[in-house]
Amino acid sequence: MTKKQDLSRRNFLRTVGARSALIAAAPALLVGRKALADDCPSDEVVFSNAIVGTVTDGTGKDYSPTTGLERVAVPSACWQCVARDGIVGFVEDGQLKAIQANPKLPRTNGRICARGQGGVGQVYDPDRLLFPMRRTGPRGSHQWERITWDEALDELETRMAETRANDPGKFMFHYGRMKASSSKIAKTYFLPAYGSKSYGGHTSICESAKWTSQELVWGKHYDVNDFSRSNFIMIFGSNPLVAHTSHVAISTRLSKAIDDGVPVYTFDPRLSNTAANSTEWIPVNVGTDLAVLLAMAYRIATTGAAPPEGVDFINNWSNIDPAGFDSKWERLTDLLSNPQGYISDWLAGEPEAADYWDPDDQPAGGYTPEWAEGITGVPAAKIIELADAYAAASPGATILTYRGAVMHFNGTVCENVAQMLEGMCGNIDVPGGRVHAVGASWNYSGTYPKPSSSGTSGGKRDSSSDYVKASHGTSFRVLDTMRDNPDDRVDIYFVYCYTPAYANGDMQENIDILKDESIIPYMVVSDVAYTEAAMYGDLILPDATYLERWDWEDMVSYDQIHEYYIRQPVIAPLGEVRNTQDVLIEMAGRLSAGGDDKLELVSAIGSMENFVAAACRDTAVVNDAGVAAGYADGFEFMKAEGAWHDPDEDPIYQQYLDEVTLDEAPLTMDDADSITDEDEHIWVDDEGIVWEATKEDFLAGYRNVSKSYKHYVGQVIDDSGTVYKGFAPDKIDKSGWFELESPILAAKHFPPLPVWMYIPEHQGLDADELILTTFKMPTQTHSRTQNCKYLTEITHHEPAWINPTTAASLGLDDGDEAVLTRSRELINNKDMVTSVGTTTSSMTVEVKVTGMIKPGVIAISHHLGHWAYGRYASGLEHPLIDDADQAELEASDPDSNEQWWDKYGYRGYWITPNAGEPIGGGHRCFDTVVRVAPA
Amino acid sequence: MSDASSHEELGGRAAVYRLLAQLFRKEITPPMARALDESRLIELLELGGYEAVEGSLRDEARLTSLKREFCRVFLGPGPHVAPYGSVHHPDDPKMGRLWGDTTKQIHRFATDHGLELKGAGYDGIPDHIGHELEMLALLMESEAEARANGDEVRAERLLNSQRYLVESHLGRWVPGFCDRVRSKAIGGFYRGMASLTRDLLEDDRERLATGEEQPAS
Repeated sequence: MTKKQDLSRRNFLRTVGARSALIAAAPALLVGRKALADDCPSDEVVFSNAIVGTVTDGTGKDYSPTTGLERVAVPSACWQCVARDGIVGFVEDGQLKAIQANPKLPRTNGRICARGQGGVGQVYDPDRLLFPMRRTGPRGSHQWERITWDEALDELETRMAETRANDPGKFMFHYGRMKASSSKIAKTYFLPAYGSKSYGGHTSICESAKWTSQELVWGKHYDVNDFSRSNFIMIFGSNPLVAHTSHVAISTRLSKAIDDGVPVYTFDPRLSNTAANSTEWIPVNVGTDLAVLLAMAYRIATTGAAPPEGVDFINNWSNIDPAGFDSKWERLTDLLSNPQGYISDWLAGEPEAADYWDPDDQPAGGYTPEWAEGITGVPAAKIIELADAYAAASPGATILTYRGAVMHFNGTVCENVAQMLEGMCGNIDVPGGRVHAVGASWNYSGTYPKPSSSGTSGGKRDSSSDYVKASHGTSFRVLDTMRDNPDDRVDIYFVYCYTPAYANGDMQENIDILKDESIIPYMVVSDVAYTEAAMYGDLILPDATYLERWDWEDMVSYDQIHEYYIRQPVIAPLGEVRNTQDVLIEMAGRLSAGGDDKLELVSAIGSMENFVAAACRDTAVVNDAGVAAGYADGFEFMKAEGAWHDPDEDPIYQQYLDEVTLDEAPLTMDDADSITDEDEHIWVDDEGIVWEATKEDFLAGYRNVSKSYKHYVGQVIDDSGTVYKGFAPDKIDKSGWFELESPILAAKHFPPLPVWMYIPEHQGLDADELILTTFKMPTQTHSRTQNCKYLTEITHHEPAWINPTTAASLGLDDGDEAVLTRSRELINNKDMVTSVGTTTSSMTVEVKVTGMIKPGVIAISHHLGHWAYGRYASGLEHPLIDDADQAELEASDPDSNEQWWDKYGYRGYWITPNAGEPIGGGHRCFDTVVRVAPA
Repeated sequence: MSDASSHEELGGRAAVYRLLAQLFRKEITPPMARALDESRLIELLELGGYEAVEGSLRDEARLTSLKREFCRVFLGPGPHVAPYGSVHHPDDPKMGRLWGDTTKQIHRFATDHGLELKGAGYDGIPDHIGHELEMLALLMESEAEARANGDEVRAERLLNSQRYLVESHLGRWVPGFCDRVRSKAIGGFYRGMASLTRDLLEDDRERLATGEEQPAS
């Protein structure tokens, strides 16, 4: 085509509109609108139209491109894992077809992971529990009868009423996954109203030492690594590209950082997906991350590499006693340079210290990189290189730690040092650093007042007092505690979304205890599927999946803003399933029968839907946004949108610098004599802690009054007297300082400053002894996703990883079977005494010989190895059809036909002891030592 | 067709389907047992040579036994014979799973016929055998009513709907389901009930396929 022709065509096209106008003016050719006009003479009509009516902007309906059916989109929230991302469920003719991300939630920006997409499998899992069941044979014999909800709740009500009359603390509610509004209903409303303090969680098998450390040092736990703004990242014992409590939020930001060229270094004994995608994988010996961090701190402190913001932060905000040095920083440098001297001095004043503590276990020349190399296997030059780079990039650099680092014997101290290092380089609560998380601030109790918790009885029943500060309990000890201490046994053990037999160590012990009716006389299990919990219950209450229920949600933002979102039923509940929180609300009404004020407060809620609706209306920012958007109220708004945030909100950093305004100056010790009443007043003590107390409590001291954290007001850090919000306590009686020198540790005969802690059981291993560690698998969670076929098809089996050198020394080849036998019991309390397990177990595994793991280690994923939880998780027979027809089904059912896998992984927890690290009580699931031999 | 006795026969067969629907949906409760004892179901089973229960259903031990049998056969946990169409329907691309494509078809079928799935007996899954049998009964009753009123057009439409329901759904999956129930059940009651259901449906399938307007009397 010539240029001239091209121009002519373009000119023609440009004038089509004008030419059409001329054509339309010719009466004989009138079409369309004219032909439909009432006043148009019929003889003018030349063409006829097929469609009448006025074009509108559509019905708002959406149609599936494949089925042609109307597709209803329902915004809600995921709960395949604790990250709880915003989702949209797509429903056709009542069937949930697909799940995608809710793009209106900045936290995930329109992305969800495979687990989230695979949630469809939760609803249509053939092994779902759809009706209440009552056991009719011995526990674990799988003999049941269906009962009605009335029968189930009548039975439970009778028992709960009797227990409440005798000792309400004998009702124990043990949950696995329970957050936000679900948690509030159970722990803030129902249990206090019923009168029980006996509840257990599961944090101690996840990352409790990390939270305990944060509570000891910087107060309110839950840190966010601000990867969106980081310019240097180090990762210890975490695999965020595969799993994290904020998996999609953090992995997408980490991926972008990697794409943007931000240096990322991952320390891990195993080449994880994150390590593989990092700038560099740094293989580190198991349980020695603490030594790397101490050596980096030493390097930064002794070379002057720290940025001034870091030095100032330590000097201004840490509570380190200068102890004769010119500054807190210098005292810290001295500790890092001479830990032997520090431990010697501490032991001299601490006669009750455990024998474990010995100055000779600390390096004479300080925590040098060279010392660390000998312990960690990480070259000193690499430690120096990364310490210098981290300091140079700060402020704005950050360190991500997780369970691979914090759930060892030295886990709490490891996290303490990570925080210390972040503080030394000015990375605390600044853009790009380690920041205090920001979550939604729902007003949930405006319409439904909370019952008082006064007069409750019971406790965690988990031996958590064996540890220095197990602030998140030691749930893995509940069963052995009940077995060993009759006083800790309960009348009713109510298990919700939790599999105590499977999730903890010493699994055979767990099973034996659960089956023993003399230890657990009555067990109620609320679950969505026939899990390793349900199979040992006496009464099964079929729980709604997260796609059939209500919640308001509050997971933290990765943009440091307030993000509000809700969960609502995407589909109608199948069978007769009921959300457990709705059951608790009904039970409150049954137990009250109109005669108990506290239970009436719970009963008045009526339903979870009411609870969520009220929160949406009572939370002013949400309600206002909804009304402004044209909805009747905040609830209608959130049902339509699923999520809301203020687009104009600035990210929140350095909240500890917020000033606290007081009506008058706080009282001091000098004022004590003038106070003669017993009222509470605001005081400031010698540590600068500003708190509200009676004169008596003030004189007793903040550190000595139980639960003084409830009365914390602020922190004074210098002579100006300014009261700052500070690093406010979170259910631990700490000050508003950044407490690197912990009085709480000191009171329990632990060194108050962080020092090296070797892992006793890892010393002097025999040639056939390996450290059994564990790891997460893509597409799965610990115990709540293996029933989803799509996910389990992707990840269903993984052999135990072992290094070629180690394998060769043991006579093992790739694919061989090996016998693992637990060879050492573990220290399991604050007194540093080794507990004696009641079983020494063995198990047989297939090994994968790979250079992707360090020598001396064997690693088994803890995401697999179910023996129940349905056909996809454990290979059980198809539940929906009689076994006599299995072959026929295999032939005709695509799902069965396509279930091509017949291996289901291993469960290393059969031989992992139920031992906790001595400070935070976190399950030592990475510390087991085993002898390994060919099968 | 306007013969009054034929209308009654259609209604009678519908009543049997209704009763079967109840029995597939729920364990026999004492009030149900009393009603059954007074009904002609057991008699019908015996007349047809089907297995039934020996003795009175009002016996508490027998009821307990039947209750556990129901759970083991129809509910699980563990291998059981799930009473849902998509689990057994050979044409369902998701056969073996709850809420398959054939479930959606039943859901739409009900909606198209003005039937709301929200009665007290509804369990949230439209293709439970009890719900499908109840739909068939409703269609039969409505057809009988239409014929009694001389509304042959409506009656023919309803007949067509029965034809679809039986040919495309009940007739496709229930025979296999009933055979599986017979294999799984230990006692005679649910075995007999399964056989009766299978045979009744087969009879109706033939009737509807041949265009015969009324059930064989």
